[in-house]
Amino acid sequence: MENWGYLVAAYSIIWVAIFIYIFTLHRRQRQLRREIDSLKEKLKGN
Amino acid sequence: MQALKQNTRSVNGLLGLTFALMIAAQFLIFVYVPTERTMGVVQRIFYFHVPLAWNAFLAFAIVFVCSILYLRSRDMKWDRLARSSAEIGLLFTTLVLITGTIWDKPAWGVWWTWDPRLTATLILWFIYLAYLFVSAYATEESQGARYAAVIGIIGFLDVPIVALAIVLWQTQHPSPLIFEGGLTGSMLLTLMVSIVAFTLLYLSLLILRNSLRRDTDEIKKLKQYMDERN
Repeated sequence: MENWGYLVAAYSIIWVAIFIYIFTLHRRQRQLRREIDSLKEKLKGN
Repeated sequence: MQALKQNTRSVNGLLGLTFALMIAAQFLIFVYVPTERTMGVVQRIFYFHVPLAWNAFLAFAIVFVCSILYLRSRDMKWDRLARSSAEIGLLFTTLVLITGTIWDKPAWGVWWTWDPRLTATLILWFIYLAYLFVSAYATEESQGARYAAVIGIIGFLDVPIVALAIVLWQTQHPSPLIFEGGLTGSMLLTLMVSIVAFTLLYLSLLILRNSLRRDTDEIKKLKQYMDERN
């Protein structure tokens, strides 16, 4: 009983989902850094 | 900012360790472990499916503990940790359901059946989806945290139901092979390495998600302070 297609599908879905989640977190982190920099600039201006 | 950098470094270290162990787990799953005789190669889904399920339970146990701690102390750090854990738990439960249905098709001939364990797992998924909706869309932050904590405590009751469904009811789902000695030495080793690798992945994601929530809250407070000053 060979079912490589099912195994490959399950494996791909797991890793694609996990990488999308990690990518989303990293993007949010970059966004936060930009916000921190802009706040620092505002504080300097005051 | 310093805390953000420090967190990033520690998470990167943990992600590195997770990555190394994940590579080892992939080697064991696809090269080392022998193909199961009855189900063939599709049985290898087991080495992802079970670790994801165990870590989803762990994630919801963390939600349960943090929810109790939040209701006792009203400290938002417990709410942040609970919400971060619920989010990852929901991701893992989604993957458990998807990999389960993919495995069902060649094993049982159907994509889905209203088997007690599958149904209880789907209910678990809806409970934590509701948890995240309540915490995200409540009109007041403290109100959302309070309601979410109640769901986090009551919702956890479904976790033992999912775990014990195969013992309590007649089910198509395989019995707990690990405890019945149904796995060979190499299968058990592969499963254990995979469980440790996925647990490290869960911890890495939890630290990263929680630090993002904390920093977002800090920035929000700082912005409010600056607006009030101007």
